[in-house]
Amino acid sequence: MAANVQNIPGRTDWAEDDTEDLATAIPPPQITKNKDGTETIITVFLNEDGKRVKRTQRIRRTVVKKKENPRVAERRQWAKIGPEAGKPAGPRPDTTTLGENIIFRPVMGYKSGQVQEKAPEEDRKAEQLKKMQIKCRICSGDHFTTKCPFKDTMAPEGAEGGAAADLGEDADDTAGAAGAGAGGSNYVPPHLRKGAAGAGGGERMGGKYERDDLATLRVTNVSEFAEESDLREIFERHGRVTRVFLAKDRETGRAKGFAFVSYADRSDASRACEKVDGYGFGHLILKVEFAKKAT
Amino acid sequence: MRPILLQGHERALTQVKFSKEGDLLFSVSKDHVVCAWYSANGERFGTYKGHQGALWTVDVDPTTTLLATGGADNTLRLWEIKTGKELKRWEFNTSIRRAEFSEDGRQLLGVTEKRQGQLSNIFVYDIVPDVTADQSTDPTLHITVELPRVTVAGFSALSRYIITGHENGSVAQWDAKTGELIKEEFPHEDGMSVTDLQWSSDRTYFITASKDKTAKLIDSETLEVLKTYVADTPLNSAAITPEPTNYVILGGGQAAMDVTTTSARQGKFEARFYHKIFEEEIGRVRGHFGPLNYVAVSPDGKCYCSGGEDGYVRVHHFDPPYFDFRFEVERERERGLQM
Amino acid sequence: MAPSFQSLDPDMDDYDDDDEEPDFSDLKEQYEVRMEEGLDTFVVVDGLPKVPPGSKDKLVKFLLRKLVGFGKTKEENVFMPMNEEGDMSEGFAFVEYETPAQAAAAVKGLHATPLDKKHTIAVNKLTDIERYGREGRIDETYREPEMEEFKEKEHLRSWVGDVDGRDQFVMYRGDNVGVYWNEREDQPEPVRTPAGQVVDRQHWTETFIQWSPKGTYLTSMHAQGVQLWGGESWSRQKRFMHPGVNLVDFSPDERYLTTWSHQAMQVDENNPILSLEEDGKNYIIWDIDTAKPLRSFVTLDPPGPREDAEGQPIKKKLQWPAFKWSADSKYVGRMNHGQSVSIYELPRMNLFDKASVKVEGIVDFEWSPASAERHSIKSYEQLFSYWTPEMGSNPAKVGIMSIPSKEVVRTRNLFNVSDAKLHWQSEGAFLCCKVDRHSKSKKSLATNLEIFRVRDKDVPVEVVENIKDTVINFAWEPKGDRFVLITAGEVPAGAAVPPKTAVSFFAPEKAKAPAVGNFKLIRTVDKKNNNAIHWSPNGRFVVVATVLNQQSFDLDFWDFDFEGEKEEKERDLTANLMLMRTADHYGVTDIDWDPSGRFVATSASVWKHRMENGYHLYTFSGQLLREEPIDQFKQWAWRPRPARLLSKDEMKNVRKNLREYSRTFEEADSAKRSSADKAVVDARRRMLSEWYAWRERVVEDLAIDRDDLGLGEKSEEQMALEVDVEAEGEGKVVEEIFEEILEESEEVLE
Repeated sequence: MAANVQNIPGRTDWAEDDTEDLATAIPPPQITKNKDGTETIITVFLNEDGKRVKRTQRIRRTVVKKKENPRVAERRQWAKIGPEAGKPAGPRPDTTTLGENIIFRPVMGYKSGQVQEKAPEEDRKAEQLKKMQIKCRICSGDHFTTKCPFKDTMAPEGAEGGAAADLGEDADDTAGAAGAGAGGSNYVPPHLRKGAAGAGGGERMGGKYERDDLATLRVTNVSEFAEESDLREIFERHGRVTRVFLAKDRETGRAKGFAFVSYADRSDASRACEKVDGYGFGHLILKVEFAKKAT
Repeated sequence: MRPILLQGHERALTQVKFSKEGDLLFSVSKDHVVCAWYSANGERFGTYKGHQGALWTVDVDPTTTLLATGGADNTLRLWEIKTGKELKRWEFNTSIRRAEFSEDGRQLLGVTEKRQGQLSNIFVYDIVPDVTADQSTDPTLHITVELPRVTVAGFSALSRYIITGHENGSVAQWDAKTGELIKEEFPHEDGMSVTDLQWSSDRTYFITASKDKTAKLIDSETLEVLKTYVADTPLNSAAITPEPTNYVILGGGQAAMDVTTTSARQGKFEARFYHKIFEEEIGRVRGHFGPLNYVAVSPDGKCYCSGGEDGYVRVHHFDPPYFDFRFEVERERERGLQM
Repeated sequence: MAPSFQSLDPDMDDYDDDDEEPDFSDLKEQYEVRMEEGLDTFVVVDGLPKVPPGSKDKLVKFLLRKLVGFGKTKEENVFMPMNEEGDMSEGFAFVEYETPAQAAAAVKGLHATPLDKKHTIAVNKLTDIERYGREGRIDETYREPEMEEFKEKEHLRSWVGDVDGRDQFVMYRGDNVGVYWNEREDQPEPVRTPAGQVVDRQHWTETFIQWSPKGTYLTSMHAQGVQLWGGESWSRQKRFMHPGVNLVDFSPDERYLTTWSHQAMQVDENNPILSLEEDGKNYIIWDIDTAKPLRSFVTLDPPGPREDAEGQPIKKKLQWPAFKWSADSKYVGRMNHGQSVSIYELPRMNLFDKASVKVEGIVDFEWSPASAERHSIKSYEQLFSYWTPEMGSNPAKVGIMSIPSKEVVRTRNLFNVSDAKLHWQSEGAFLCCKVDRHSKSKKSLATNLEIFRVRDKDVPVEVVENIKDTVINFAWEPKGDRFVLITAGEVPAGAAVPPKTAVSFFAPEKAKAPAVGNFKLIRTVDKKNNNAIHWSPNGRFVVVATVLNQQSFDLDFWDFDFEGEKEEKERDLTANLMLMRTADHYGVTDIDWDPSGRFVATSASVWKHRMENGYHLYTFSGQLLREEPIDQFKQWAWRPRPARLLSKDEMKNVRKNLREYSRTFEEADSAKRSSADKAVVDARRRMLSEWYAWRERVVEDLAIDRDDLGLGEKSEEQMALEVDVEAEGEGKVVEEIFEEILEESEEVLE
């Protein structure tokens, strides 16, 4: 939750700054040391409306020394085994990813569905600031950014990193948009490009359609004995599935060999597409690709 | 709080355990694979391959030398954690539902599935905590349980009792030396299975989770229900956070069938935090796409993880507000103690 | 037992819901063999001239001419018996009609009509002759009818006098219907009868429950009809037999009731309440006080073909209510699609002016919800608005008609109209006609709002033009002059998700009182999923929500008069719009404001889906007070309140001294809260000390046991966490760096 204020939606990832076009318009963060040992960081970023925003933060760094458990330290040095044997240290992106930031703060009288922050927008921010302990900017662990175990493995993960940086306070809502945000290269038929006419943030408006329509996968080479529930089980592991359609023969009731699976979230869909494509199911190898538009 | 997602399994998770230092994490799933992870960054240490069926249970000894696993291939196996070598294999007539080391790591129990013509059995083996030692093939104790199916079991403090949880919602206490049934209690609704049993750090009390949507904190000695936590969904697992925090974490969710047909609500699959003493819910953590099958807390209390029906393990390192949170009366007490 | 229609004695005070014995009396009655079945199409015509056989045919033909005026019959169905000699007729005849209704009509219309100078015919139902004509069937002496003794009725509005000013609501879940007092964040308190019984009854209704508009009665629905309940004892007040009833509607003054059944009623003449008049009808309009039907009607077929191209019947949406009441309940009108409005006058239910009011092409009409206060019009009138589509070269029209004069007080021509909806403001001060207009090519749609200022001289019309996208919802502020509307983009073909919506808020510009300035858009919030608008009954606050949606369930609580700084560009508007809070109620299906405008109940009904049924209770500003998941939760309904009795001045006075009043209430609240809080805190303190006492004992016992066994202080697994800080070489020191933000500020550049 600490990283929350820092991750303003719409800001590009730190690691991506120099690869983005935006880099030309956005100067790198300025860090100045103050006399009292704190540091002032000035960053410029683009907010939701595409406006440039300057943020000034004063930060104190504290070094905590502690003794590490020798048994733990020893185990850290163990040679990895099984499929991991010989792999370099650090988490592998195929097995380990970072989730969305979650705000978890115990409260008295918790009620489910209640928005945890009770104070209105402004107060909330101020309140969070008081208790704020900003930590690693990559994984928000309690260590300095440069010491992040994910520093090498996570940041270059373009899509993942980008999505992560985009996550705002309302993690649910932005997840989809963030995933789809980069999808500008996807072709959108002109009649659906409605958002373009809308005022302000035209590109983002397009995003809403991508979220709705473009999160659909076409699954082929499906066993004729498959059921929708089987497919649902396979695909649901990769995200929130909104719809599974399995084409069936009207007379025999058997599957025709193809299906469509829609996700609520395009980023989930693309991950599923990657993961499930080539998955063995009922003696056949599933082929998964993004559905083409029915226009 | 930024959860780390571990994707080492292709199918639903069944159990997740921390090493006693909390640095390693072991996960088993229906896909036959055992995975070991570093909890700090989610790096996978390796896997333990050999089982031929779905895995139901895993446990690690106090020295993090030996790993016990059991599952649907009717075997209970012992592994060397460091090398992944299989050290011992015990075979049974039915699958192994639960395996657990005693607190000193010198005994291991295994619970076998009750099936047609087969009652549930509890086997206890003496363990030598040394990878070079020959482990005994014969059990030191064998209890044939003539009660409803045993779903969960474990050793209490000083390995004095074996506590079992049953399909009908009952909890029983057995003498761990003689195998004699001492007590049987019915803390949960009749017919609602006990789905999990986890210990406090000194094993003097434990928590049970049940399909009856409640979890109960129970005294190991008297089997008296100390606390009750009421949830709004069937529970699969419950864990006690180590002192000084006084929380319990519950995990569960409606079975997949009931949910997917209507709407997959992302947030429905949440880990629920309750105050251990006041029995009040204090927060939830969402994220899984399916019911939570197991929740485990690191023995140092700094992180917890959940294993879901969705095949993911999610590891969460707590933020400061979690540790700072107190009820007013707790602060009052702390102030009182300081004075 | 269910409060069955037949078996329940209206005087029965105490209500026993433990008795589960099913009640078959209705079935028994239904299937009882009736002897006279089939004879009710026959009438007996008496008082005919006695004629020889030769003239008989002539007489029959003559008689037939009169008979066919009331129904279908023919020569063969008229049987005129001859005397024993066969030379003369007996002077009477049996006539068979096609239906009992026709027979009944013939009796009504032909009885005691003169045939010629000498003969006056008597026409009776054959069954009546059987029943009453036989010897001894009728008592010849007159007896004074017995007068029922006067019994004082219960006070039907006692709940309004609650000292704490609490509101009541009814909850229907599972088979039970219960009435409760709202206790805000606390468990609702069940309402009790004076005898102390909780008003929570099993099988109280069969389909749903409904309050009458002023909250006097609770309506329960049954296969046999409708029952009204009320008073402190929650006894049955009235019952209205209407077999197969589906829907009910009250007149605004609670004096009349409309019941409707999908199936036409079948009434036989032995029915104690309904007469043959009601046979074959769908609607009955009742007088609630007497519980007698006033008039009955059949359902009018909605326009358009009945079957689609493949011969499948097309399901049509029923317009409900079809009978619409004027604000003072003096008139009730029903539209004959495309032709006219039939207006009936209460209490007689006679057709007003003996003819329907012709409005060619009429598609919809709405009464003004309050009695009109038109500029410089002093005489009594009730207004209704209507619209007609384009017909040939004539443009579409919106009109306002005054009753009883039938004068059209205002019309307005409209072009390129695909649809229109009429929205009256609650005081009848404004009428907004939402017009969906298509472009010439009919490809794109836009919406215009044509706002009639009914109280201004000559009813001027203001047009709010060019709202792109389709307006899917519109709502006036009750008692106010602001409104909210929701627009939705077009649905892309094949999309699995409904389109995003945008919510727009409008208010009039500032103007010199009492004039109301032009309506202007305050703000539009887009990229929403909202589809529902629920205004507080007192205006100012509005909940804009997403209901019946699988992915989105947000509730936005807006304030139109936020007491804070106002945005510069909105300075000239009579509103200061502010989103107070956003809540989220998973699976929400219904939203209901309490009549005082202090609380909002949202519910997820099992009628719509089975996920997390139950309710949430919010304050007007969106603060969650309570949530309760309840299996099989069906319905929540606040009990409406009757109109306030305070005069306008008195209300003004209360508002002026609000601080004084609220202080008393706040004191009462805080007293209540602090006693509750104290109890909770005490309980926690007790639990805490009990827990630590228990822990201390257990830990001590364990330490003793460990010591006895010669074991260390801690178990092996606990030892794993121990690090010997003193020992040399054990464990290396690691440094961890924390970053702590001390200050943060942001400014937008350029």
